[in-house]
Amino acid sequence: MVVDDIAFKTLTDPTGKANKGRAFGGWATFDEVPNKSYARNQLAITAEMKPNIGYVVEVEITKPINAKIGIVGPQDAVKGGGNQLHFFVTAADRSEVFRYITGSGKVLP
Amino acid sequence: MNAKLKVRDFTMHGTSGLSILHDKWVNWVIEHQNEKGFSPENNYGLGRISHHSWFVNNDKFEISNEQWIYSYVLPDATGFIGFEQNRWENDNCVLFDVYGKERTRLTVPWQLTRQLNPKSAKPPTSFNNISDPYINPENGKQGVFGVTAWVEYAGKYYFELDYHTGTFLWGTEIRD
Repeated sequence: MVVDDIAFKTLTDPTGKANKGRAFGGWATFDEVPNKSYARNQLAITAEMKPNIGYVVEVEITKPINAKIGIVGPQDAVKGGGNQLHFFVTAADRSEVFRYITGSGKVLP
Repeated sequence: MNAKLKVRDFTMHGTSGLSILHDKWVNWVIEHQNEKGFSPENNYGLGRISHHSWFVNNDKFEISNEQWIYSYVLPDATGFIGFEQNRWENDNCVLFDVYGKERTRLTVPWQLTRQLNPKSAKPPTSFNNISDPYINPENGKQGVFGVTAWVEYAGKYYFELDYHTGTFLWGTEIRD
């Protein structure tokens, strides 16, 4: 899952005051995400959707949920072509479903 | 409010003796995350967080982690913005002055969403976090500072915030 620095900070919060479930998005990919360019172009995460895409994290899905799996379609000027999952889980319910895999965070060059 | 007063060196302190600036936390995790013994169980080397500190001019201020609300220094360092992230109410966001004193409590501006439903004011409608600025769909201009919120019946939204006055200016749906 591609996240910004605010979400990554929340996922790794040491204070116990952050709700980590709120940091997850509703989309993910099975693809290896090597850099921001791949995220912007192949995954079509446009700046309008997510202004900052600094990190990629691995996420465990802790209970069965519905998701739509397919090829990323074009968005505006980018052509897509990567693979995506779209989870049918509202933002308010994501804390019950997703878990950040510790140590998986990578900075996207 | 005295505009000359600024927050600096906002730091969290762990019982391990380690202290880290809040704005260096992500770098700290990335640099050390795969080291032996570095895990969420020991709070990534910090141990239990005991307190937070910051300076205003040369005066040091502290707050215990128990009392602390999950907060960020405002972009111009004139105070903090905090989120009670485990309280699913529509007023779980607070603006603090440089001393950490509550200045304004904000309410989710559900009226700025496209789905105008009075029930939107009820839980779990609540603020999430600060956000990088989104583009105003009305005029195509980049925002300056904002927060995200979950709005029941409408979805996840970005709301542009004038944090000096505590006024929300516009909102746009986030499809993340």
